Amino acid sequence: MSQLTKQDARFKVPGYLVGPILILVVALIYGSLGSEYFLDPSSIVFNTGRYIEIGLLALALTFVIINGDIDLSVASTLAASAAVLAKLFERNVPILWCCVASIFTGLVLGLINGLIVIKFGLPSLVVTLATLALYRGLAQVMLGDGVVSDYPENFVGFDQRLIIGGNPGLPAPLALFIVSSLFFYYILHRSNYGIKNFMTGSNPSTASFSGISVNRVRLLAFALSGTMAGICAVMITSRLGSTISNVGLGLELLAITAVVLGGTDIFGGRGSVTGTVVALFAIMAVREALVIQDINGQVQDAAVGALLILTVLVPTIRSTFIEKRKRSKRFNQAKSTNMTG
Amino acid sequence: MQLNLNSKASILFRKREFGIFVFILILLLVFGSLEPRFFRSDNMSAILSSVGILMVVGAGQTLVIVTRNIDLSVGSTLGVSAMVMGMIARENQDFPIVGLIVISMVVGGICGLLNGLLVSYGKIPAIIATLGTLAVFRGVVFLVSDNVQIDPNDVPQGIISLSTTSPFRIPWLLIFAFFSITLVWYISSKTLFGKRIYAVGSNPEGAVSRGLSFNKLTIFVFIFVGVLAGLGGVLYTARYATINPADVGRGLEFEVISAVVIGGTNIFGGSGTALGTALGCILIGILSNGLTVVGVSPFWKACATGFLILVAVTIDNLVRKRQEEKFLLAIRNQRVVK
Amino acid sequence: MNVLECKSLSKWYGDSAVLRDVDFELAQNEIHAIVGENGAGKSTLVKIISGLVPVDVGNVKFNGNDRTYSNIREIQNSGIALIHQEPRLFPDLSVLENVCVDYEAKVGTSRRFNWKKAEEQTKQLLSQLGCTFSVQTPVKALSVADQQMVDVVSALRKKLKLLIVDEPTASLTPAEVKRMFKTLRDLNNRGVAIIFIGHRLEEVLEISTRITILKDGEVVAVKKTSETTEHELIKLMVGRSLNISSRNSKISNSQTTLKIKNLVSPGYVDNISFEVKSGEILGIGGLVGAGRSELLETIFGLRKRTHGDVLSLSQGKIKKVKQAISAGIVLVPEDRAHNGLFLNRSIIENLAITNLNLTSSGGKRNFRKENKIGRELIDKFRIKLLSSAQLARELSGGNQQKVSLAKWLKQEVKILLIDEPSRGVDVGSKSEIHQFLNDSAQQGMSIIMVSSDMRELIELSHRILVMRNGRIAGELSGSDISEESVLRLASGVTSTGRAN
Repeated sequence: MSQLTKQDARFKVPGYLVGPILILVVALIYGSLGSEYFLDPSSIVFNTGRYIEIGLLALALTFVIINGDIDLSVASTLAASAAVLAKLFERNVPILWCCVASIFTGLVLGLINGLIVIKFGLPSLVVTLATLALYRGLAQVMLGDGVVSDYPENFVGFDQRLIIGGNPGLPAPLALFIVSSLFFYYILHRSNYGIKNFMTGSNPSTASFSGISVNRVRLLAFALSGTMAGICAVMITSRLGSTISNVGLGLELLAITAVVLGGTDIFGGRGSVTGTVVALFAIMAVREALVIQDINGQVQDAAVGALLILTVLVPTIRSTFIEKRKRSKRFNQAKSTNMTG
Repeated sequence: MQLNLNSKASILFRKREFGIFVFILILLLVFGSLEPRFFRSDNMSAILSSVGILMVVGAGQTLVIVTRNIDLSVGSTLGVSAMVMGMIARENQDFPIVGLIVISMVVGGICGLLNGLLVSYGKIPAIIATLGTLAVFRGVVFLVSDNVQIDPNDVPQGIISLSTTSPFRIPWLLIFAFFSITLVWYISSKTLFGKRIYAVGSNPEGAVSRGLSFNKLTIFVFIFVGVLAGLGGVLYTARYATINPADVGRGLEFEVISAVVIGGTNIFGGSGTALGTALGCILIGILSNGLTVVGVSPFWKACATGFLILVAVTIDNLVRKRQEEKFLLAIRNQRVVK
Repeated sequence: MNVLECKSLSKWYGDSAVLRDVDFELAQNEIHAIVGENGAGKSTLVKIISGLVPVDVGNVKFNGNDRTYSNIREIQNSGIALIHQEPRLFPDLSVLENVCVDYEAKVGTSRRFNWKKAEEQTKQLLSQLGCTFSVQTPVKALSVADQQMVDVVSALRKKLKLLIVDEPTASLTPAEVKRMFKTLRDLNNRGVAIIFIGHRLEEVLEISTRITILKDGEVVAVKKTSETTEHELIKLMVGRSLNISSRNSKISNSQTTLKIKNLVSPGYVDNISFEVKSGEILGIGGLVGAGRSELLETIFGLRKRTHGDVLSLSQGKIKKVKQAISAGIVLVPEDRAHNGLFLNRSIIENLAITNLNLTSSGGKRNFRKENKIGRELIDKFRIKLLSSAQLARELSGGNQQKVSLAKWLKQEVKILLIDEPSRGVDVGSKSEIHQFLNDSAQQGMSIIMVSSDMRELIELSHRILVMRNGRIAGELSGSDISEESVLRLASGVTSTGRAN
């Protein structure tokens, strides 16, 4: 979205948000019709844990995708970081340091992604496809078939903890998400790094010619993505109370869906944090509304997939129609003036 | 001055497949020497069976990637096709085998048609469209089957035997795999139609302005991979005799795309061969099987695959860069002569 | 008989009229040129003629038959082909495959494609055009000039009746231009009607027999080439006379602002040394492929150097792009679409991205300041836009070039590296850019200018370095400067006429 129109947009909903907002509203209505507890604040907030994890991944992914790259390995990075956490915990390292190690692992794995992409000049799609396997493999090697559980009581259940008490209160994950969203919003839309990110995605060559250090921009985005995965590893371990090598399997697809649903162009150059946030809530609402109807997880995924397709499809069809109508209107207009003139 | 780049280019080109071939031989030697059991015929046939399905779907995915698209939904397509076929077989134990195969391929083709329409007329980037259909088709598997899996009893013997026998001593599975690869090879190197497919990937705008039916070609490659995924569904059923609505085909897209990339197909489209994909599949199969036979923990498999992809793509990139430098040099030399 | 008759063509893009009631006719044996400023409608007109784009109002008759907008294939099969600077070729495919890829089997013949026959035909056509490369060569291994020939051959295979060439000479060496013109004349003699679009009026006058001048989507005049001059053409295109500004030939004793010492960038820049003074416009001449653009890129820090130094007066040794910029050295690249602009971002953003040091504080952006700077630059350079949120790609070539240049000019530019200042730029903008260069030099800026436009190079430069094969072949100044002397140094022909 052009920064110049930011002021104009204050009173107008940007086009790319229409889809996700619509979906969110419809899902909320549908859900509340299905169950009176749907909109109950306390039940909403306590269910948000796993969505927030996806949301945090999606926020960082927004950056990566806007500058023209993609990171398919986020879920595997999460798994490897969680494995590090679990393994250190097994060795009786204090839980706090395990968490730090997890976040650090995520950062390192993200940097490795970035370095391989940059130093070898390889497409990020393929590199992160490889590290998706590689990092998941690391998790598997570290954890094998086993399960690590018996985490300390004060560590487990982070997602149920309240930052602000009361009813319903503000659960910790949601607080974390709000803070992260603000942080990412600031960086993407208000900082120099953000505009450099956009420009790198719009045209990396021109970005270099304009004095932007494209390599640094990309590396930072990958590092951010990896770090978020490391943070999510801590959160998911706390929520589940255990760690297995399959942790987070498939999350990357959900995260990417949230980013694209929010209006970010998969090819880079356009996108927003706002879109990702709204899209995440839309996905959450849709899935919860379906859960109430007792609809299976796979079908829920299908619904989200269908909505993703529609969100991208509808604007294209609309603009084609508009162009066709304009053209025939003009043709008729000119025809009539030709006849009279 | 005759720029005889033809021989140079084709040598570099063949080098790529030759390189994979050499690497395969090296792996065979390494695994074989560490564990002679590796070369036993039942082990060899296990390898081929595991990659057979990969080759069938990979052949189709090759053409999709060549057109600068990607199909993330092949696993789900395989699942839907297999499930529909399996349910029909379960209800009609006497349904002709050929009919079942055709049905599976048709269902796959329909899935492919949807993908093709979304990408061509819908103008949705393939990665997003197939990300969506990956989920949608999997949901369809669930709905259609009512979350009831197909058990070995329900699968007709005729199907199961496809993975083990045929009148020609090699199982039908391998024949189908060989056929798919050969078909794609033929299309891409001998037919004008195939050249058009490569043209679309090499320069999409150019293809449109040259009057190539961009939409039709795009739809074709998606239907093609869909049909092959349907065939893959039959072979999957033949091999595993079980179709579970949650598991069937899961993760297949990753393996297939890895094999295609390792086989030398450029993710940006315009180049890639069936032979390369086949070799990529075989390489993955040998690596996976070899590690197990040699006694390496299965948990290293994922690492190995990931590492393999990185190595393959890096080599590809280096080769391509050197090729381009050679071209540029040749062009500049031409100028001096003038 | 007229090959082509267009009547009352009108077309709108969005709400703006790109063509207004245009009539155009083309006789069989003529080479008909279309000239006009950027945005005059030339490209749109030929896109309509070649069927790429439907017309909103009006009528096109080809060889006497009414032709409504049909699909590209039909139009191409009727013998019309359009060739532009970006050849519609497929880099990964071979020459033969490129030529044959849009083959249409005639009704009734076998569907199997006969590669052998196609190969022979293609070889024949290529040799007729003077090409010597093998048909199996992958197209990405060919030079632009050769690629254009392949483009022509693929058009020829379809019984060409009308060939439209849109700015074909932009990236060609003078020798290649000669070959292209010979090809066009041969084709014309064999019965192919030709429409030629070009910005270089000398070329237009050389190759064409009739000229149509467009301005703001309307036909201003149609002239026989023999009956008009460049001056008249410019007047018709622009609506006013232009003074081609000339440099002020005096540079007072000023200091050296930039020293290049033994600069080497493998493959392109081979041990180059020179100096530039304050207030001087140093032209860099040479043929395409001599390494001129690469030289600028290496100086700016974009291209790896293995040897040598770039020394600026203000900051000493310069190696990286960021250092160059802070030393006041900026680069306006040759290919503005791919390297100079962010086409799908707004104009304001394009202007802001290089001025973050002036508008932001502590890494935080200030939108008001960015808008302010943007507006100032737009006003100063008279960049014509429809709305403030307009995207860069919606601008005409000349205005795009202005943006590509203006974005640097809020910084304290001491040394301006500019590559092809007026390529693809309309006459009006070109004159404004030249004025700007002269004025800036007078105010003390050093300018290193690469140009393939001989007139531009000669008129603006105080001194010219001619490059050949990565080295400096010679230096010209004062009365030595002439088109001939530049060409001679560029192509290595000695005064006896023998090539070096």
